[in-house]
Amino acid sequence: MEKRLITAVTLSIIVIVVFQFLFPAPRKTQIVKPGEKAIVKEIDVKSFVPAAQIPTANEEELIIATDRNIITFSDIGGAVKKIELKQHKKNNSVEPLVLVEEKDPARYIFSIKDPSGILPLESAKYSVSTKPNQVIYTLNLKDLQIIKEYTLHNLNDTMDLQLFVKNISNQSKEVGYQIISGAGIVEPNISEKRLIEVTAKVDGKTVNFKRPKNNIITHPGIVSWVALKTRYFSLIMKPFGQTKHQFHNFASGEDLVAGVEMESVTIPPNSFIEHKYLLYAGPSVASELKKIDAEFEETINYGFFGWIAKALLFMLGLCHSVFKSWGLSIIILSVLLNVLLFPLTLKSFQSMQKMHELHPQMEKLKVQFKDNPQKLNKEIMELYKKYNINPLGGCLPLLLQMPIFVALYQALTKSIHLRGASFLWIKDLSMPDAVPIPATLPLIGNHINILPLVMVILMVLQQKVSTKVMGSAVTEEQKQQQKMMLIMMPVMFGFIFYNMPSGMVLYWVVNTLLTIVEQSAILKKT
Amino acid sequence: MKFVVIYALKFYRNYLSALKIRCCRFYPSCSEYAIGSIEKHGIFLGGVKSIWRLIRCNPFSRGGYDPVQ
Repeated sequence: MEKRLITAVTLSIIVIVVFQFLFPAPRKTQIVKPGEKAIVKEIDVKSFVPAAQIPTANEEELIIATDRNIITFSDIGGAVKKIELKQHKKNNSVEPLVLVEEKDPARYIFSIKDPSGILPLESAKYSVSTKPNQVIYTLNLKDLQIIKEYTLHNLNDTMDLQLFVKNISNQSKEVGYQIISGAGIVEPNISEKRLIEVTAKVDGKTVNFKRPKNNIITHPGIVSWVALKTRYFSLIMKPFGQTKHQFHNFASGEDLVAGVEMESVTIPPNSFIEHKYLLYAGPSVASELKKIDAEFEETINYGFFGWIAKALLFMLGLCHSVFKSWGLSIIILSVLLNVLLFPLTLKSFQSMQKMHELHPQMEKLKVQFKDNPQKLNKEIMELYKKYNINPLGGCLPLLLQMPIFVALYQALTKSIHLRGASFLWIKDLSMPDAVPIPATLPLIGNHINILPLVMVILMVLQQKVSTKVMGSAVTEEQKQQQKMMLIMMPVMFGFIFYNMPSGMVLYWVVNTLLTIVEQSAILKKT
Repeated sequence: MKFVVIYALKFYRNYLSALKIRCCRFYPSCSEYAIGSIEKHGIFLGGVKSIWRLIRCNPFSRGGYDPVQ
């Protein structure tokens, strides 16, 4: 037995190493954005004086810090080019997290564009003025005056835009425009770039997509909100006006750009239209989003088993409010789910014991129907019925556990609470535990994920115990297969889990450990 | 498609199900039933019949002999 265990462990390690070689893990390097690093004194919005204006080429920036965010405005297009969140930090640093950083003025947040391309709404220089909590950009054209009035908030991660289009000519003018709701979203971890997605609610239906196949995709209808999301953060815009459609596309390379186009309206001479927009730039936390807008909670998507994921997160949150540790909360959740399922495990074992007692009768049947396996199985089932044995709870309970795992995976990978949460030697429960090793190995690099390896070893142990529990209830042929799968299964799981968030692996480790304990306790009782 | 599904089911039948305690309340077991049902009725009707069988295979069912019809 000892020897086989060692073989299993060595084999697992070899396979993992080979796997790493074939599918190298994405390197965890941070992208350092070149150029313009503005050093500006932060200005409190409450006592707001026009802030520092840095000329970069022709562009004049205005940097405003609220209690929660640092927002960089640009006079080109009178829009937002950069948003930093003070409440959240960049990976492994104390600097505020950069959520949005856009280089192209045509794609600045709240930048507006004339669909016909005649008016230079997105490229013209706007004149700026400020009021307490407000930044106002104005553009005077021959016939139109555009006023963009931004209002900033200290209490939450939102800002408002009040957009006025005035007709200053003596003729009626038809005006329609596109407005950018999200672009330049920053995701420093390359491996998580694939999680960037656009979601929108158009005509009451949520449309969710990641990669537009065509250059530009539009969804015509009334737009309730448009969200551009990374793994943990959201940029959500809610338009208060008659929308024509929502659109999104890839601007260049990998950059997703989203926005809405407003229905064109005829403005009589010397009158104006007014449109309001709300922008949320912050973490995707349901409780926060709910406070800002009843609909914003819908932007969070935990997949098909979302409601289970939410229930699990709720339980995790409860544990955290008591124990103040997310790692401990995951362990408690695992214990809790195991305790809930324990009656099932126990019952299954009891029927197993009964089966053991019936063994002599079964042997008799086996001899009797040696040449007719179908009849034999039928007779065995009749025997079970007679003595009221039910093999476990049936297939359905087993199948029902799957959604729980899928939901848990969604909850643990997308929940921002685990971001930067440390536990024991694990620095961040939302990432692999990546323990530095002194040497740089050619295949796995200079970090090794210990937790998945622990998991593989525990799984091998667990299967050893469970084959003992099954005892004589399996055939000789099945025993042979068991021997093979005893190693294969844990190794397969090792592959799958190696680069998963350590929170997820932690859950699985605890679950496996508890199964071993349960099964050996049952085994001892006999 | 049909063959892929049957192949996957057979893989489960031969390798994975050997790892767990036999839990089905019927004969033939759910996975055998699914293979037979999909072979006989095709992927859609057979699939639906298999899902219905899985739903029936719960702690409140009596189980027993239930061949592919």
